[in-house]
Amino acid sequence: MAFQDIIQRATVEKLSDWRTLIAPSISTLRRMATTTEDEFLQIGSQLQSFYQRSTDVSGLAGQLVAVVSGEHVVALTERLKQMMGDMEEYLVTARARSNENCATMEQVKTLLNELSDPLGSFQKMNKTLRMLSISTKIESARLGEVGSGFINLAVDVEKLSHQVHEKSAAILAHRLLLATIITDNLAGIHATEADQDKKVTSILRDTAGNLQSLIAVNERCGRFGGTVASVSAEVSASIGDVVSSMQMHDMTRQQFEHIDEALERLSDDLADPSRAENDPEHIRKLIVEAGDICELQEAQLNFAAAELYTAVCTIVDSLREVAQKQALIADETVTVVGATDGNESGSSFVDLMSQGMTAITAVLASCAMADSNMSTTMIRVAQTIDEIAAFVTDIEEIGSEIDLIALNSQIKAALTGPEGAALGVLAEAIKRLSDEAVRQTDSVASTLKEIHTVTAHLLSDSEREENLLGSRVSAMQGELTEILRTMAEMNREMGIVLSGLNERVLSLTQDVDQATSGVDVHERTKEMADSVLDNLKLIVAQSREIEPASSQFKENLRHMEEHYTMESERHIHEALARKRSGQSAVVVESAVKKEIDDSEFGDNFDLF
Amino acid sequence: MAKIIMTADDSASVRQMVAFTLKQNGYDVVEAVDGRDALNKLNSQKVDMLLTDLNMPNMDGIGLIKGVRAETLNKFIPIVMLTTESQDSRKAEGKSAGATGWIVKPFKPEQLIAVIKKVLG
Repeated sequence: MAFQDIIQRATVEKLSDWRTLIAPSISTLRRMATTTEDEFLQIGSQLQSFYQRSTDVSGLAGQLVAVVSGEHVVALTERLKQMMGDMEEYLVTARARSNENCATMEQVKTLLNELSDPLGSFQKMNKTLRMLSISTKIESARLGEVGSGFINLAVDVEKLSHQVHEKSAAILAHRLLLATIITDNLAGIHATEADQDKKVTSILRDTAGNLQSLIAVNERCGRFGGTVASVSAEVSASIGDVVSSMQMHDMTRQQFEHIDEALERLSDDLADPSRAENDPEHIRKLIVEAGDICELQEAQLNFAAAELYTAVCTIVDSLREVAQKQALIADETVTVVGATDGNESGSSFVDLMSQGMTAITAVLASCAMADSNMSTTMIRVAQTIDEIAAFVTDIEEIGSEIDLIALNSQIKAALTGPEGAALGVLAEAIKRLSDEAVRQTDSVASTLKEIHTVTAHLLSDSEREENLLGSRVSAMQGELTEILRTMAEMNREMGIVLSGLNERVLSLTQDVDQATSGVDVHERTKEMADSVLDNLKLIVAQSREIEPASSQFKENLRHMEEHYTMESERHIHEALARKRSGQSAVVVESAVKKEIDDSEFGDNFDLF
Repeated sequence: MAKIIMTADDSASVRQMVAFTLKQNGYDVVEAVDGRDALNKLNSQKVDMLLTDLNMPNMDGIGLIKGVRAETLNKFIPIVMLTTESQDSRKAEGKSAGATGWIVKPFKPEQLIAVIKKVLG
């Protein structure tokens, strides 16, 4: 056999080998075109649900923002400001009144001290009367029959001494009681005030802080609406990318089918080696055709497989982005509405404000109780003063009786004559005591009158102020109850929406993860495409080794160009043709990434 | 009342995406797997618009348009081709058959909706 014949036979065998390589490639391409749609459909069937749930998350974020912002929150803020103002004013008034009451009680206490001297005098008077009584009895006994009338006088003086003792002791006891009441009350008031001041200062500071939080939340929420809208737009864009990418299955399927058709045709051309053996020119053409077709299909397959790979990655990434964006917006929403502001327990700032408001209610109740206690004390002081006044009246009467006894003694002493001179001295002494009793009684009465005037004024003011302050406290407590109710409602709504938001975000994230984590259609397609590409590359390399590439590439494959349906396929064809003819290649861009032009509907739409 | 749009395409994933986009925007959707299926359904159901692929088994998009324009129930509805084909000669063929517009795949949802709104007025 001639050398040329040997070469020719080897070449024909090569053609047969290529056909053997093309057969499994066609089979693989058919699998690529027909077995990959289920995964796309599976994702597509969940897209509606993902989109709806994503929209729900945005809606809930907006709902949560609406709960803690808007006109009702502005109104609540105003009410809180008013409430704080009222509280401060009330506390100033209550404190002034308390100070006034304390000053009055201190004054009463001082006046009570002034009773010490006259009351001491009554005790001395008692002793003196008793001594005078004894002296009168002795003198009466010495005079015998003549002084017998003085015995009765002595008995009367003794009785009066007892009465003076009794009344002055009662006054003294009442004075001590009053002093104790006042001292205890003042101590209580000072302790309560110190405690209230501490609590109120703390609460007002906290409430002012919470008020600022409420204002800040409201402002943040106002701005946050734009963020939610922006994220919603981004989510829509991501869903749009998914929709566009999902169509790439159909597009690449057609591309795979076109490659399949081209290889099928080449396989048919290579199917008749007997003809080739007798026609060297036909063999040469087959080699060039095989090289050209396989090179072109290699480029088409590379492009289509890359497009499918990119599309699947875009679908997976976009869906995950949707879930991530919604998770992010949920997190931001929680922060913006203050559900995690400044506390570690996870409760909302509204919750904290409610706690502060409840504490204010307790302080107001305590203020009302202090007012009531003060009034009770003042009433008790006034009653005790009245009781003391009654004793003073009794002592005044005793003084009058002493005066009468003294007069009677003087008359009897005068009637007795010189023997009764000593009794006259005693009568003089009784008279002086009587005068002293009147003076001391006047002193006590004057002091008591002063105390009475002060306490009567206080009592009258106390009742009026208690009523006034009581009604203000009631009004504030009523308003606080209303504010607390509003806050509780806000908190309840926040809790419900927040729980729904977290639940939906978690469920969306989990379901998107589950739907996308198992997606491997792009990897499987790439693997299949690589096996086909290996075969095509081998054929191209072997064919070019035998027959170099022709500059007539475009002409040779014109029949193929006419069968293309897609712009990208024509571009690839054109690019390779230009390369073969020595011109610079055109760049082929992914159809997915084509930007819509400035026209109303993009550059892929024509209206007839 | 929601407008009804038919989508005719042999690709289930494309029909799925068209239906998703349309339903999201308040349209009712009728699906057909090829031209013949579409024509059968259009004989018994009134729709407001038809979106059809070009290359389909049994009956292609051009055949479908001709069939629709020939019968009476949906004779005057707008028909927009939704296809991977972008050659002017094919577009001219579609126009001649009675197509209202031509969209080259892949479409973006907002773009498809804008076209539908424009076409339906």
